[in-house]
Amino acid sequence: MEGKLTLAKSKKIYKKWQYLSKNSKDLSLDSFYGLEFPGGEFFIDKKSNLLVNNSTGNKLSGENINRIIQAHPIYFMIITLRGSGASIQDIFDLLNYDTKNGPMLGQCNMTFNTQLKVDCKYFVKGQINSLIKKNSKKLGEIKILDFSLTLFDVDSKNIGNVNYVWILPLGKK
Amino acid sequence: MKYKIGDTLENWSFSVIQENMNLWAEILDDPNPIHLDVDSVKSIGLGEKTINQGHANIAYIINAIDQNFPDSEIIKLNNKMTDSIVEGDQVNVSGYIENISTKNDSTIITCRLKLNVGQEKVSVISEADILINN
Repeated sequence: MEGKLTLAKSKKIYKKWQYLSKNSKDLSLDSFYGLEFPGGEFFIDKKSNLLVNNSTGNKLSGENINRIIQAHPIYFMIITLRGSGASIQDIFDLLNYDTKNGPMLGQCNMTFNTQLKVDCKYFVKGQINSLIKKNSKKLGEIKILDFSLTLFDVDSKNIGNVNYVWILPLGKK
Repeated sequence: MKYKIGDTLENWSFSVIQENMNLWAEILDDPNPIHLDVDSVKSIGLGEKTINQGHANIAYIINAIDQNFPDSEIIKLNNKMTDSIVEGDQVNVSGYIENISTKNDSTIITCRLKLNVGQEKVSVISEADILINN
């Protein structure tokens, strides 16, 4: 089953995250290259889909909630982050990064193989591609985190991919 | 075919409010205080207002595509975040058709889009491939 990680593999990856989180201060940036996400799943419920649409200006009527089949495409981003087995805070903890410095999304590239549906469960796998440090004129010293997450349906069919680049200011100008 | 290369897209607009940022913090399970707390934004020198989630900014781009190409399917969407959107901003998505190609029985339209605040501030630059079933 390509989309679903075995429990044993997921546990092994989770342990590696725990180890890296505890020791990230002393590790080189290379230590995070290729690190897999623990993986997980996410269910799109109708009410949340309605909120996502309405809060971004795509007004849908709650009266027709049962007729809405397709989920907003932004769920590709929501699912890959919420269903990766690591929350946004877990990612920052992994890197020993203080969110008070104001992390920002820098780039997000997505490919969509099929449309997402409400009342469906999806599975997520992914890995960290790179973590580098550089100087920004505007933000001072920053880290740049690049990671990719892939979405699968219950039949392990690849539904789409999301590549993220996050900018992590280090608070040193 | 009603679309032509160079056609401009119908603009799409929306007002960013704090209530929606609070909701998106929950949707994303994102504790980043720059979306929720003005003092945090000030303390790190990123301005005077809370900053909208990048994910919501990309959702605006998607909504603009949906408005212009109803019943279509986005197959690729690349986004570069170039500036922040903050609480109270009136955002506008504009764009144009850069290319039209065919694959099997379908048409693929490539668009360039921008999320702006006013004339000066460009916050997201996007490239989208949109599948139109003939």
